[in-house]
Amino acid sequence: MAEKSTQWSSRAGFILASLGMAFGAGNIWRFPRVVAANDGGAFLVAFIIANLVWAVPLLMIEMIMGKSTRLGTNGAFRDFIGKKNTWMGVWIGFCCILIMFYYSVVTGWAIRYLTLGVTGAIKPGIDSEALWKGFLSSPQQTILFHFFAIGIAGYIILGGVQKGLEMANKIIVPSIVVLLAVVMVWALTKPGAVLGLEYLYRPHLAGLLKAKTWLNAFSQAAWSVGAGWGLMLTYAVYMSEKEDIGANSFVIAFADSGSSLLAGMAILPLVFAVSPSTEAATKALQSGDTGLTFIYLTKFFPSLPAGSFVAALFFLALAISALASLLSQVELAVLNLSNVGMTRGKATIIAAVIAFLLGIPSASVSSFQENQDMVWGVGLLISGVFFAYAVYKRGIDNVREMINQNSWIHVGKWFNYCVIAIPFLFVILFGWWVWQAASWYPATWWNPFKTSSPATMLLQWAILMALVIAGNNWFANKIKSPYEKFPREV
Amino acid sequence: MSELAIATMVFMIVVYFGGLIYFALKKAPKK
Repeated sequence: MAEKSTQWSSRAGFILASLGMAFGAGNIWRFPRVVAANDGGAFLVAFIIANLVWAVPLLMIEMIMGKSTRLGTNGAFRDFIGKKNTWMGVWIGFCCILIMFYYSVVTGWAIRYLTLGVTGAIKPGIDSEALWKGFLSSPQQTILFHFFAIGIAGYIILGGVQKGLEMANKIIVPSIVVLLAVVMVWALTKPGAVLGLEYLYRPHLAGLLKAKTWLNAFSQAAWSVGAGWGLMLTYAVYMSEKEDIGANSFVIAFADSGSSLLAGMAILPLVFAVSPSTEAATKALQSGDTGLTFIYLTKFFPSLPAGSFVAALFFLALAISALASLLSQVELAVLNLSNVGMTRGKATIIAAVIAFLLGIPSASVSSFQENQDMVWGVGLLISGVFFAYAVYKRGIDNVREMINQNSWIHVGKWFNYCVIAIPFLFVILFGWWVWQAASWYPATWWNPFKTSSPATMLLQWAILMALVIAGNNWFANKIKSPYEKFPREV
Repeated sequence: MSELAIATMVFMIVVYFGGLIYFALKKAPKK
């Protein structure tokens, strides 16, 4: 067996770390907005189904690949489906690392607003729009807080699996739940807040007949749980031999969905509680992730009793949620570097320094960050397809049998149908995103140098795809295994 | 809140958190 310190100490430790990975800023600032815009109760039904069809099977696939190969994304694909397919794992790894570069910047934004909340700067009369725009247009500030974010993440990762990752998530994840519960209770005591719950739970079941509800539900499920990113694969490398895959996949998907629901029950009543009118609240919910969080809520928080204090708690929840997700992204990079023979310390320092340097463009130019968010966010759907391909290649029934040998529950034939559905879901979701982007920018959708054009996505994907395919053998031959004493087959 | 919205809230909380509790309580089968 490998050293105990390179494994999670318990099932709870593994699940909390996985939930920290899954629950990020998007659960707090995107989920409530998407629910509100998609018929509330109808979206909640579609969302749980999307989780069961897309997220749970992908979590199982990632876990079996990580647990059976004991290698990061690159090595896992090499050993699971053969050397010539290593590039798929490299794509998945790079896609996630490219997200890490700007996600650290976003985590820095949340840390900045946490400091504003703690120092009492969020007070009545605050010009939140000028504050936000001033912050974004000050590279010294955005780069400094990006540095703090990646520095904190690197420091925690340096501590190792148990004393770094696991310990941090054991503190962070329960804290997020408590903080969101406090914000929810505080908001619900305010006049008008209950309208937020009405928005969340209004039973417009006719919404289930709308394609938009399902497309948004599957998009949210794909991003929210983090299935298909390679992150779950990374954390599964540190699972103990006796640890379960089947039940744990459901636990992580339901825990992430439940936490999103809690976030919805905190944020929507909060928006209605702080808004001067119902119209203002509904308009705020259409103002985008950062518009809602950093401009709208920041402006109206102080107008209510104890609002400045609750603002600090809210931004603390946002900052630590983003940090826990950033930790998993750094760990993915560190594991892949460790697999080529680097020590954990050296790999962490290299990953953190590169993330800091390559995150600077996103910290300096907000349109660059928006561009990267779209390109690699949608690119993750391709990663999901690669995981499904790995299962086809190895044999769907064969992989299901491997999962069942490692599960406390029986995974039935439904798994096969979900795996078969993943490429079709990708085509539908990707087509929809391209169509949306084209309709938002009808004059520039073909221009690869425009921030949100479909052409910029295709061009950047093509460049990365060409690089990873060309470097396939180089990547495959570089991989060693620091965990060689683990059995290679389950 | 309307009665239907309250019923939907209870249903969703039962589904989301019930699923979590059900799978979290699963234990390794005895050999």
